[in-house]
Amino acid sequence: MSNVIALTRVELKNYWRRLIENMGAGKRKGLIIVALIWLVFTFIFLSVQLSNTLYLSLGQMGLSELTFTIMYLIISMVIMFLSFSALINLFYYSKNTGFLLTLPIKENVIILARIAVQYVFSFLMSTVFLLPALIIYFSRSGLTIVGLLGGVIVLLLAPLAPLLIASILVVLVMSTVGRSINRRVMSVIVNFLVIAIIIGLQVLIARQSASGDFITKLLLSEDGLLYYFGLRFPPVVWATRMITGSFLNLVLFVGLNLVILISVNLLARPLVRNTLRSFNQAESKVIHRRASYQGRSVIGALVRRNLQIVYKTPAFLMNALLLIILPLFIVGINLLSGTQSIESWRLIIDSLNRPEMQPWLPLIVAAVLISPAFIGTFSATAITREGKHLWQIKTAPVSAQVDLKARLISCAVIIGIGIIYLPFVLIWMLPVTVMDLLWGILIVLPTVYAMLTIDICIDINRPILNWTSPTHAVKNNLNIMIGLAWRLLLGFLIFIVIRVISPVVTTLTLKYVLLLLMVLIAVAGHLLFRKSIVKYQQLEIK
Amino acid sequence: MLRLVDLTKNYDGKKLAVDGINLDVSSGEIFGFIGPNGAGKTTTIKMITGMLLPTSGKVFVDNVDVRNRPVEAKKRFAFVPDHAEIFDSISGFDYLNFIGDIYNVSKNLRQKRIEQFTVPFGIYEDLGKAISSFSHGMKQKLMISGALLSKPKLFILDEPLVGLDPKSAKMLKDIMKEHCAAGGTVFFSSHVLEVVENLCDRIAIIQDGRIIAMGTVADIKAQGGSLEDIFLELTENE
Ligand SMILES: Nc1ncnc2c1ncn2[C@@H]1O[C@H](COP(=O)(O)OP(=O)(O)O)[C@@H](O)[C@H]1O
Ligand SMILES: [Mg+2]
Repeated sequence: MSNVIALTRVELKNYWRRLIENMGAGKRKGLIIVALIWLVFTFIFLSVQLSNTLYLSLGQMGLSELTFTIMYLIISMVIMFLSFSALINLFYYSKNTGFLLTLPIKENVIILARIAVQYVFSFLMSTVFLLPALIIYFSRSGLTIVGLLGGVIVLLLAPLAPLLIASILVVLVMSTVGRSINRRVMSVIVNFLVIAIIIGLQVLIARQSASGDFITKLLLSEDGLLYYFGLRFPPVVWATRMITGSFLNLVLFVGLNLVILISVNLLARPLVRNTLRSFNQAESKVIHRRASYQGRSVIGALVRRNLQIVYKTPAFLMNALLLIILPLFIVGINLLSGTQSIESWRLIIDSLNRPEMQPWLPLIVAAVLISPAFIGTFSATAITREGKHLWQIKTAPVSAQVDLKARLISCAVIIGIGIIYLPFVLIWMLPVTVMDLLWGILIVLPTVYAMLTIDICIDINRPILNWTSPTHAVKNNLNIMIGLAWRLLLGFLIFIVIRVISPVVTTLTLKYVLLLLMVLIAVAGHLLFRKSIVKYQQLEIK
Repeated sequence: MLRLVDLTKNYDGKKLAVDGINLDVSSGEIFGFIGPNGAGKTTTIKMITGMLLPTSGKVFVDNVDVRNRPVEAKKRFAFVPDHAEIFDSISGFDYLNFIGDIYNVSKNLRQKRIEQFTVPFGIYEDLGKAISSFSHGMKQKLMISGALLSKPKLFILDEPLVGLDPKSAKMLKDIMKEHCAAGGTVFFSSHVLEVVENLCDRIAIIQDGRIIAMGTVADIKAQGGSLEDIFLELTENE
């Protein structure tokens, strides 16, 4: 046990140190910390809002304790899904596993420590969402001693059940299917499965709640809604009753968590031993083709290498694929979410098909085409993705300019794949003309260029090269947040521009104004990029 | 071939790792850069190869200033670091081809040289596999083969003999000698003294970021005792 705690502490410290390092120094650090605190407060605010709304509407039905139930359910689901992919990475794709295996500790200690790390993150997350719900419920519905005790227990134990279910699933999946397939393919399949399950659940819930008698059925009995959820996730019922002051359910809840803990510890041991080790050796099986000696230009070789790094690293590949298909996914989710949303989609598309919308079509085309670049801050990790391998490029006879150009091109290729099919979708759904498409593309080109260059400048200024797991490079990366932040500002700016000038000018003028704005931003991006080349040249690899 | 002028590195203004090093390696030499752990060998090599910027001082490779004309300078040397951190999801062939592309090695030469180095190292048969399946020694051999692919004028290695078995170490020493016989120059670091005796034309001994002795092995020996004694003495007295 002390081993587990020690290892967990080391991993958390490591994580924390890296987080601090990545924040930079001096004034910049202060700014980022302020931004982070602001972000946390936004979440707390959101969760207070949500709990409040839930309490009011559920209170009218006399089911105010369901405020907590629903929040608890949501957060449990979120933790389970997030943990599923996080644990796969922590268990199987963490680079320091090999080193840890050489230490005189049991394998299951490594696994338990990894779960503990994920527990700490999950605990912080669930507290942000559950604490406001609990406070709102207690302050209005009254507080008992057992209820208070239950509240504390539920905060501490809430992440456990979903976390342990996720880790059992991970070990099961990886030890059965995981070994027969290439691990890169495996990781991508698993991630998509997770997404499919999330969407499936959403579709199911949306469909069922859309039919009116489902809700009346739920509300027929006093505990209907509760049992509906509870049937699928028993701890929820016990946790809810525990909050309302039932001592029996408190005992049940704690007992259940203990049982899960013990059984996982027992079950994981034999399974984990096989998987941890075999996955560390898995890649020796990969045989590539025989000798080949084709030559490429320098920039071609660099672009190929950058694309290989994306393609051969599961976490990066996932990122790229998501950005490529996300626009389709969003449409898909909405279309599948039952008759109501199909209707609303038809309404939207019908209204876009109306003649008076015709002048706006170029802007709509532009908005759709920009979406992959808007959500994908892919070049904000263009250098970070190299990690510890950057020395190779740094000591090779390649100028900073050529190197960065190759990185830009490879990001453009990936974003380009995400964009290229969208015009066909548009033509299929809307009465767009060739001119509309041309205008859309004309506006999109400088915008994409601006996004690529400005993002890469962010990465040049703060690359993270010391990551041990690729997930660190792309998930817990502030560069991506900064990339998203400036996009939001840009979106806001465009919104203001359209709002202010559209009543006074024709749409043709508006198009020119937007085009001009985008070209200006692209020029700014270009200049910034030129300036950053010098900075990149001076980047040190310590 | 390699000239360091008052080369100094101060990490973050706190740690003076290299303190005004001057040295001049002539063409055709095997030069050993010897010193205990933490002496500043890696730091010096990182400044030569452009991974670190000197706090002050200059580096010239074949009379080309590394700071001002980095690409020209880097065309003249190849580098094998002390760690084997290379992107390892690709095959050995992919790796060597990448190097060949970057250094503009023609296809025919590429094929000839890859066989020339990887066959004796015994890794040719494994080049089709992912590098991640290579052992540490195999990775190092792959990196050495890659570095020699472009027949660089200057061959820089950081602690190259660590992790190699005796047979491979002997082979690497022979490769170094051949490289010099063919007109190349070798600059390598080591914290082990025994390797330099019958290998290096000249050595420099570095401690705490300063060069405390430099010359042929015979020169330093002439100052008295075995090289080992001198080494111990030099590193203890300072
Ligand atoms: N990134 C760094 N930041 C601060 N100090 C460093 C860094 N890298 C090395 N040092 C320090 O510089 C000195 C020289 O290190 P190094 O050049 O790696 O020695 P060697 O290669 O001779 O063993 C050591 O004292 C080491 O602690
Ligand atoms: Mg060293």
